[in-house]
Amino acid sequence: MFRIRKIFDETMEQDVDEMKKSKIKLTGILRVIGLSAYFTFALTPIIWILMMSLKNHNDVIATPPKFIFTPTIENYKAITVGMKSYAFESVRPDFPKYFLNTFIIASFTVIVSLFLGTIAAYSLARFSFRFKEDIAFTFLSFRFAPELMVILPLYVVFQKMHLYDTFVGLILAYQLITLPFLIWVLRGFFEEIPREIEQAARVDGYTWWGVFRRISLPLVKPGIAAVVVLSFIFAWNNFIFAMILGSERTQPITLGILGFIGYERVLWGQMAAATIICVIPELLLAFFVQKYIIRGLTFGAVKG
Amino acid sequence: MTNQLNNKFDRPPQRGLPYLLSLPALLALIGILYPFILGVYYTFTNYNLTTSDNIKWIGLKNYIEIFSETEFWKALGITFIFALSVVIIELSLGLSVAILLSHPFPGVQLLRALLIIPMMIPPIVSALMWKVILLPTNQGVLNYFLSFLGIGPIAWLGDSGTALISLIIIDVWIYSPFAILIFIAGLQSLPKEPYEAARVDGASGWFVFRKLTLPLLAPNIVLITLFRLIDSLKVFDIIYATTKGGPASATATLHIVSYFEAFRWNNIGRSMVYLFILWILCFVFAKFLTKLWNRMLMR
Repeated sequence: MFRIRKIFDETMEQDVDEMKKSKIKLTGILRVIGLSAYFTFALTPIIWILMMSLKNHNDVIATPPKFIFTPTIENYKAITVGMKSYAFESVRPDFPKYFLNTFIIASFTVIVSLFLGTIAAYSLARFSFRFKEDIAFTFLSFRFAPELMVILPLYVVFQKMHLYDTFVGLILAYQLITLPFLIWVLRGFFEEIPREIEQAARVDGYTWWGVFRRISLPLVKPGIAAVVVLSFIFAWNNFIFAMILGSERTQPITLGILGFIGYERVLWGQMAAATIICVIPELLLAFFVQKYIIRGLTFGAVKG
Repeated sequence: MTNQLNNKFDRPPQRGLPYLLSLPALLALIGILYPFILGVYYTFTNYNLTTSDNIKWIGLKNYIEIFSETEFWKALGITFIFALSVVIIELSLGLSVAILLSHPFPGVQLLRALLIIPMMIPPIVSALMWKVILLPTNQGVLNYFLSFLGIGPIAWLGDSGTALISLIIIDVWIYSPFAILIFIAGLQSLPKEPYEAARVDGASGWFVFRKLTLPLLAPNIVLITLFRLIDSLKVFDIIYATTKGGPASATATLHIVSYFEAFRWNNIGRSMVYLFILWILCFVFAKFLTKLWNRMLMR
């Protein structure tokens, strides 16, 4: 009797083990299905645009869509050096100008923000003074305000001050995107430095400036790198500021790409090529600071 | 002792110094506040771009006019339908994919790295990419694939019945990685002990998820809601790039309407009313959600 019971128990255990195993297998299969579904959704548009950028005009507009085709770089040629393709004149040889405009605006915006913002961030992180939290809060609430609420009146001001459609004007306006972001996130990085380190340096006779330059600044270098890259990407990606406050002269790449699709002509192939050229530099940059992206996108709320 | 030290070192060397150092911050502040206040002032005027020399104070006339128009209430409704839909979808999709990605398996790092791509592409460009995918005839890839299932072709962005849904799909594509990555961070920092206790007690997986994982992830849920709700209430880029509010104003959100009030009808006063109302909505939700989030962190 006792023996039988033991055998019974053992077989039961085996059954349970088997159930567990098949359960693990099942969750594994479900995981593969779920992830494939999501990543198909996530990657198809990118792959499709990449393919489209390598198609000639007839393949681009083919119905049903073509998956197998002879790749060509004519779209890239058309937008960079300008090239006559089929009935379509080289339509956007000014694309390099848009690229350059974006590069100028984004770089100077970030440089200005970095110079102005780093010390401000340190000061907000380390010193206690009145209105400190009010300044910080106003920055945060601008992050959550509809952009036009501020840009539309700014458009009126810019018209009057002759800053409309100038690089200086745009770089100043772009500070509203990058400066609050940079100050807010960098402040978090400075706050993470243990006070004891700075205090020890002060005891050793450093002035606050010496502490800032020789101790704190080197310690937040990775943070600064991340914030610089992300500010650059935000400035690069911006559309609404440039659309309202600029025009033909300062037009950046985001507006330029939109220009491929107008009422008279729809140049999907060239639009796709422009998209790829626009996106590649920032993706390369983004992968370098991958670790900090979520921290940046949440204004420092998620560390990690 | 440490406290004394802290006090000593927190006190700036010269009283004015922190203000001097944060001067750039204060300048940016003025850059934000001055146009903002000017904008609120414009809501009470008849400011029109074509007759810009003659700005007259007209009190609440703009507000009364706009509140009595169905266009405004329709835009308000569309704004909320869009915002709530994307928040709910992105939260649930984000959590599901995050759970699938939170267990180690070969290639998981690569998949997580791929997630940053949609977030780093300019939204306007993502929207254009989707415009290609969603082309109305079988020329569009999505319609082409759906034709094998005997569905369609659907006009997507071109039909007032499906335009808003198309925009929701685009927004979900761009921003669900944001939710996924925050949920992954949250899942990885979950405490182990309660889970071991639950396993000893023989709790079912669903029970553990509902009673343990979800409450523990509450701060992450609030944070994602904060960013996604506000950003989708003020959505602009992806609509401007695709439907511009059409067809038949089926996708005309408050932000989009305000743009056309200003640049099609030249009426800055009315445009600013739309923006001010949208700003109040964003502000109230942002304030509430940041408070909630802070309270959760305190606990």
